[in-house]
Amino acid sequence: MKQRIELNVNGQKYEVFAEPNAMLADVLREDLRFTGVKKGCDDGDCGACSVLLDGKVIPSCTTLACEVQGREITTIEGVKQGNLLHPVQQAFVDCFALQCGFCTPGMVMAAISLLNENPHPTEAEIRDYLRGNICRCTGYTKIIEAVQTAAERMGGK
Amino acid sequence: MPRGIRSNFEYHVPADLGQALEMLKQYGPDARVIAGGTDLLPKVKAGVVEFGHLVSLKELKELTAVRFDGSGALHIGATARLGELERIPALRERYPALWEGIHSMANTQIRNRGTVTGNICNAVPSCDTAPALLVYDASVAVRSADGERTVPIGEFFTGVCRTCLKPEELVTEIILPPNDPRAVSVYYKYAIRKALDLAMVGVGSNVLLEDGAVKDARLALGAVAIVPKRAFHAEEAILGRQLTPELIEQAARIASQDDCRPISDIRATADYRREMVRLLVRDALKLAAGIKIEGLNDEAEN
Repeated sequence: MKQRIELNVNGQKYEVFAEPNAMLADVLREDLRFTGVKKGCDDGDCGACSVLLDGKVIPSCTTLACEVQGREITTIEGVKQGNLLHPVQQAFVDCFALQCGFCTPGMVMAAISLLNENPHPTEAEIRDYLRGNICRCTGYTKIIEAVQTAAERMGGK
Repeated sequence: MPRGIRSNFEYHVPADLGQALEMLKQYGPDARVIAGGTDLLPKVKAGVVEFGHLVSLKELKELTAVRFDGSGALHIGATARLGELERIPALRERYPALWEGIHSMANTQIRNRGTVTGNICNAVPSCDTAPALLVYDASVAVRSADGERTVPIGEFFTGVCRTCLKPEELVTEIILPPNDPRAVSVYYKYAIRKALDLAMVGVGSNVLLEDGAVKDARLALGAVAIVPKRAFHAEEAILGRQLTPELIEQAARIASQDDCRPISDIRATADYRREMVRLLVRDALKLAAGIKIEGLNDEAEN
């Protein structure tokens, strides 16, 4: 039976009616139209559906929407700062860290989560943190460079 | 139309532990518990499990705690996230094998949702936290509406994806007794990929030397039997003796021959797994003895 679910997404409250078995990724994409959330494997294994839950990256395809009511959810649509891209987004652009772009929202969200936790990560720490975000185009080198560039530009902020 | 998931269920959010236990008693085998859901939900999506009632632990704040008690024992609440545990320096320092087991799992995203309790309740033989829990002699606190009991981790697993838990029982916390700071412990996971791979073989060790002799030794193996298990024969071979290179080779051989019963499957053959048990136990014991390790784990240590 559908039930009322209250979600706080990108700083705004939304109310949707969904089955208790609805996944957060589906509710975000289909009910709320945050289609920047991508579904790759739909099994928690590829990182494309990554969103932030209270600032930490989680797999939205393997999380029930009803389980995260009252928590702060952030999607790629919610990270820009005014009219400017988030420094991580801008670094991805500047470093040519994307080709087809399908993995990019998940990569960016995971990178933001990393820099929240660890503002000055080493290359090994970046690779380790992003190890579950799969990209089939770029070979990762430019993605790592983008995260390093963002970290430098953000200077720990 | 349900999305993503085929089966539907009633969703319950008990306000406290007492309510949760009453629900589990009422619904029995038709209920499942959800903490992170990273094991359960893919199974539900695949249609491998079906149930009528899902009991959420999200409001049970009493299960989220992670603390060291007065004796130095570590208590890990049932819903404490793996990612959160990873970020506790004292856990990494005092129980490095557990930290390595946790860190080796899945990916960052899943570790921010999943729990150690979920990992052991799912009870796959390759469970990455089990070898560490075994070598630290952990126990599992279990509650039901009718009472409580404490289960030694060595008795918790009863088969592939099977535990000693009854349908109405809930794990509330995992307790690790204080570990001697002089002991050397490690968890080696052997897998093809660093992300989202299951162990072909997992080896945990916790060895205390005194005057060069082995005063206390626990070794545990994952993915080489129907349950994660201690390597009692190998432990016995080294207890009370000087940890020489010859004895290490001998104990590693014993572990690979007498302490495991691996199967051949898509990940590795049984013979290959035995050989990896030998090499990883050897390296774990070398580490304990302060002997330089060459080759195999150079990469694993980075």
